[in-house]
Amino acid sequence: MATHTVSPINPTTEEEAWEGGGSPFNVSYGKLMMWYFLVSDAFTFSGLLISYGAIRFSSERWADPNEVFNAMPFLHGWEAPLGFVSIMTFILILSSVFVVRAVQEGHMMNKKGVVKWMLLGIIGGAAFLGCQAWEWHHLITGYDHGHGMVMSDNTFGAPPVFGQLFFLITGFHGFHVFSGVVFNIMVCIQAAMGVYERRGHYEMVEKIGLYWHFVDLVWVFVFLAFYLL
Amino acid sequence: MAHSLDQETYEQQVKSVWVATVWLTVITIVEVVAALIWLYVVDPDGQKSKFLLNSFFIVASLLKAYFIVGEFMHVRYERRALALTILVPLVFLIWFLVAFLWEGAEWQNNRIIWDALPELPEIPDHGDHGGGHGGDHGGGHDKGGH
Repeated sequence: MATHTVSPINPTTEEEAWEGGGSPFNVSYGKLMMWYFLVSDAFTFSGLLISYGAIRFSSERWADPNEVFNAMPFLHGWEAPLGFVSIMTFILILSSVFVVRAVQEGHMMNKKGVVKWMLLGIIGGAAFLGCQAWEWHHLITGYDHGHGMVMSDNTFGAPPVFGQLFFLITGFHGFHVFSGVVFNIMVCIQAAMGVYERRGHYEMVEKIGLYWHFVDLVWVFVFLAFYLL
Repeated sequence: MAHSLDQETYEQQVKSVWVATVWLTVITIVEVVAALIWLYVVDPDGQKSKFLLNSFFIVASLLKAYFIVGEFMHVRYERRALALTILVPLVFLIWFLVAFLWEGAEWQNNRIIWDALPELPEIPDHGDHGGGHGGDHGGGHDKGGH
């Protein structure tokens, strides 16, 4: 790769790469397409979050997140505003970090390392989903006891659209997490079977890793819109 | 395209990922602590403008996004052309956001003008920091957004 002849197949500088034959972005087709998919997905989520903003600005009253999200599992009756969701956020960040570590071990062609960190990433993703399931369950069943919300109504004095947007957007994000966990499991199994070792590179781990970090990125803004602002 | 890293670059990248992790964790903790201090110390009655607090939340979230996209998604180390092809389209979101928040405020304005504000459920009396800001009696007030 380190030849200094001007060859379009093996470009050595960024300018030469635009002569054709190689990738001016210095990434493979698959990785570039994953990036373009993520850009389009970013617009999907932006559409959802911005419509949340528009509807919120059009409503005369809105729910107070410190009141809506103040419950903690196993600590019934406690008031812990934002406590549980902070744990969820931390779990998702950690899971993202584990997958970065898997990508790095992939660069070093370390099969055991890839499988180990991917497994940790999968556990993190599953834990996040479990937390979200608890949160939804708590809100929906809490409605019967006068402190929760369903799609059509809530007890926080907010218009019903608050609950609709909450379940739509966190649900759409949760579905991304779910499919991410499924992809991670598939990649982890293939890595463990030695598919990527035979192929000579672990680029699939990188592509799925990009998707997984994107899910974490979206959570930053879901967290901002629903829990902080 | 098997690009194995040499040991030195590898160790350096592992280190910078853990540094980014610490940053993300610290920013999240600071955000939550700020929200709690605001709730319990600065403004227990929910009367003050949250403009400063919310601005802080937005800046902190953008900083977190920078660490995730730059470090975890590796954009910092990619070719400039790739980074631009990904990031430049997102510039449209700025106007998307401004236009729709503006529009949302206008919807409310129209409802006030035409006396067509939807009836909201009563705020149930529970908890010490009740939802909303209390004391709202239908139309007449100008701003509902925080």
